[in-house]
Amino acid sequence: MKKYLVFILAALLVFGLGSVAWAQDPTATQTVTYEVTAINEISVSPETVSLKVDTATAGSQPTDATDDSTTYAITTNGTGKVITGAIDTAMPEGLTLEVNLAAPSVGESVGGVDISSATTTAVDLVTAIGPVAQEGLTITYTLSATVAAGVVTSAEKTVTFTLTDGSV
Amino acid sequence: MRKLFFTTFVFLIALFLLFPGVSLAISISATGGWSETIDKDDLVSGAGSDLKSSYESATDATFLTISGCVDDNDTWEVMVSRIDDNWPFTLWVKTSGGNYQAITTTDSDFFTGAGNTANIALQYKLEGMSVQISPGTYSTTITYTVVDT
Repeated sequence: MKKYLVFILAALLVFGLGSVAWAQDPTATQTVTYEVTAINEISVSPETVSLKVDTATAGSQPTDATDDSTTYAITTNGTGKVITGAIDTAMPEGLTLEVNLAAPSVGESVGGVDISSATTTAVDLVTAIGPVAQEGLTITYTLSATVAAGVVTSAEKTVTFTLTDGSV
Repeated sequence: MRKLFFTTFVFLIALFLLFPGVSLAISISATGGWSETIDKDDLVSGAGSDLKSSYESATDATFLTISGCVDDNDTWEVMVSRIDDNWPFTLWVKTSGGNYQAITTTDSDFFTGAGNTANIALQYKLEGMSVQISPGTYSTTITYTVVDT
């Protein structure tokens, strides 16, 4: 009886230890991770536009000069974004530069906005922008002059559009 | 008594070593993985364009090893599935020379083979990327299961 007991105990010991030592895993795992960063891109084309006020109807202020030959493109994966506009130096007295950006499919245009003095504080042009990738959106510039401005020599201004987070 | 115990023990050890299949089972292990960061450089053509919708890993993003087979004729099958909480993409996987197959949340047949096999290279492909995907980190865990057939 003791012999059998020893044999059984030994068998249990060997195969028990064996199964522990040789236990195998029929599964293996791998992780795939994707990080999507915030993407906020905007560009204009072409990068130059010329405006000249050179006509007037007798009895009225000079006729506005308007240009809608430029467009902008935008890509963002964010929400609540805005496009702001700023000018490098203020327009001369009597001259007004207004800009109007067409809204992308997800966003709202503010309409025509005077940026003549937006040198330190940019002004909102398009708001409530959501995830979108769109190009060919019209930029309309309007240059206005009063007779008080007199004759103004040609000058160059840089208008900067920025795609940024909306104000809370 | 001690002699009997020792003899029995040695006998069973020999038995165990002679017939390892008695307690061995086929197992699978994996090394590697795939991690990718999507940023503005992944736009198709800059501002105004969307992100590339499809991305591929290196051809050897993952290496699988099958072990514990009784012999070279011991056949097996590998199945694949994924588990995640927020995975808005379609993920594909293929072996070298194979065809891509989508990894779903339920086990599906992947490939078959026989005998212990090391360094089975796997390549991944992800589809469904766009600017509609919110910024953030997305992760899925792929499970490879080997079944003795």
